[in-house]
Amino acid sequence: MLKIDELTIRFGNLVAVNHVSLEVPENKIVALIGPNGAGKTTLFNCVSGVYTPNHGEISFNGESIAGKRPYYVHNAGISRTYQIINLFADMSVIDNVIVGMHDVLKSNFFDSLFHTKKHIDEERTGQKKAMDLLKFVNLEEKANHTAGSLPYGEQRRLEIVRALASNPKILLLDEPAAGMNSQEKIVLDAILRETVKRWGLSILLVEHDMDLVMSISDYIYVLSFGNKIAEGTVNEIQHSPEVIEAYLGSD
Amino acid sequence: MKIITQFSRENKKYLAYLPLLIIPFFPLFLKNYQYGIMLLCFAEIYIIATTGLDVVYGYSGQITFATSAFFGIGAYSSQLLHVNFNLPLIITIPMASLIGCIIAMIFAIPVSKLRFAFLSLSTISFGWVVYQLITRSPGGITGDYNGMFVERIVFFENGPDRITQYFYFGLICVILFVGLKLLLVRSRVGRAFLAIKQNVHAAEGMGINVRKYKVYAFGVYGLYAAFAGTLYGHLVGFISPETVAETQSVLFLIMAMFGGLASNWGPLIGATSILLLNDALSHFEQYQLLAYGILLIAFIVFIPDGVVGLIKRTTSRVNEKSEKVNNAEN
Repeated sequence: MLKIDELTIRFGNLVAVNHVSLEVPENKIVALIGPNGAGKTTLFNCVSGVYTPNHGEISFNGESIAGKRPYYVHNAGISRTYQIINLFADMSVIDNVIVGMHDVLKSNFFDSLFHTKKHIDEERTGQKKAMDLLKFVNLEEKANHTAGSLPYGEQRRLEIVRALASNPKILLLDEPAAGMNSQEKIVLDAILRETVKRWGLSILLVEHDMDLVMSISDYIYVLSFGNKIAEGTVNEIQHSPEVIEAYLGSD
Repeated sequence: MKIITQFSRENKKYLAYLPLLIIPFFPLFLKNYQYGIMLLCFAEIYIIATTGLDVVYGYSGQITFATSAFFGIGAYSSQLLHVNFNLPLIITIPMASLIGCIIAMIFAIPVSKLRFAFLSLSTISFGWVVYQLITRSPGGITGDYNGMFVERIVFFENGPDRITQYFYFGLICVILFVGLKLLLVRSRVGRAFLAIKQNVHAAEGMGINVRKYKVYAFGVYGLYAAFAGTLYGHLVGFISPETVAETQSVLFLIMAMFGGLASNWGPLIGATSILLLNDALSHFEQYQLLAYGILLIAFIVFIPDGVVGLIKRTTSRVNEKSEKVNNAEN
């Protein structure tokens, strides 16, 4: 579904991502791991339209999306969360989710201005859908709190449902477990599995928490200093000498 | 019991609006003081302009110092269309407002890339350009530095005096324009504006075409400011480059900020109170700007969220206290 081919991104002389190819098939969880500075987030930013690659191709369902603006990529069906929490902090929790539906809601400027029937119907279904999503991550009781007032783990979950609000086909999760305690990580694990099952989407995941990665991933790619050094199933990666070397260093 | 207290609280909320019903009767109280009615007309005009400014600055977070430029575009265009093309005012006023809207949108297309200091500088430059065009107009059609006389609106030949008529016309316009703004900000578009203000990267990441919505916001702003300008011109009967001056733009910003940005009542409270203050200070003209400056600094430091924010903070504190008391009683 998502295919990245020979992707290269340079910042000046630094090659952040070097000829990396990977693929996210339908209805799978694919993880991207690697030591700090390996280029994982850079690659994410390239897919989601924040950066334009210097070389290579990103295609999504056959359409080239390299260099497209972030809103375009999002509306094409690739939604994301951020490594550093990027909520609308002063908005209510439910409004954050409804902003996530921006492209799904179809009322135009004049529907908005005159609150036409279309607008009213859409707002009602939007509210309901947002509530359902909040229930999914156990945040329905905090729907009217301001997003910035939530504890860290809840903010992370809110980011996930905000990204889900647009019915994406691929969810890009940038370190969703960062800063979570072990209890919250167990909840996250369940949420991610259920997400794939319920919405039939795929997840591309950047994560440092190896327990989580090994538990939920169908396939893993390993980056180190911008190069892809390994790929395979959980079992293959756990026994790959290159990966062990990259993480632990060689003698 | 809980339902009853909740109900009475809701009712209290509407009771608070009751005093507003007195506004239409103001001209009766001010029967022998026409200047007072005139001030109310100005308040209405400034409320409309400040409401537009609130959409672009309060909701979308795009700072602009070009309000008086669009205000002037409206005032000048309406009269120029009226004189040069012989169009009636009922056509020139909407046309002039639309011109303001379109110019603002065209201006926003390149400028929507800019942020913070760069954006402010570009809006200031836009104000200069408009000022220059008005003071050095082709063929002197704007009267250059001398200004120009503007056709005054008279709605009914017999009936109450012109200013009183204007007050009621302005009141209808305020209800219409403020009402439409309130509808707009409570919608998909309004949410997009707020999202852009709060976190432009997340907004773009969530599928909002940020540049398009910035252009929309500027369009609303240009429309409101230009419409207010036309009302001003046809009320006062005379406009000059002073109408377009940069200090006027700062005044609009002070109004918006003093009232409280991105709020229902902010523009109404801000425009009215700053106008009245301005009028009170007009006896000490040489100190007027000094007073502005000091006030502006004081607002920014002490009540950055304006009067509305101040009220909200105090009432939420009082509510919290009463809730605590209630809980303790239970």
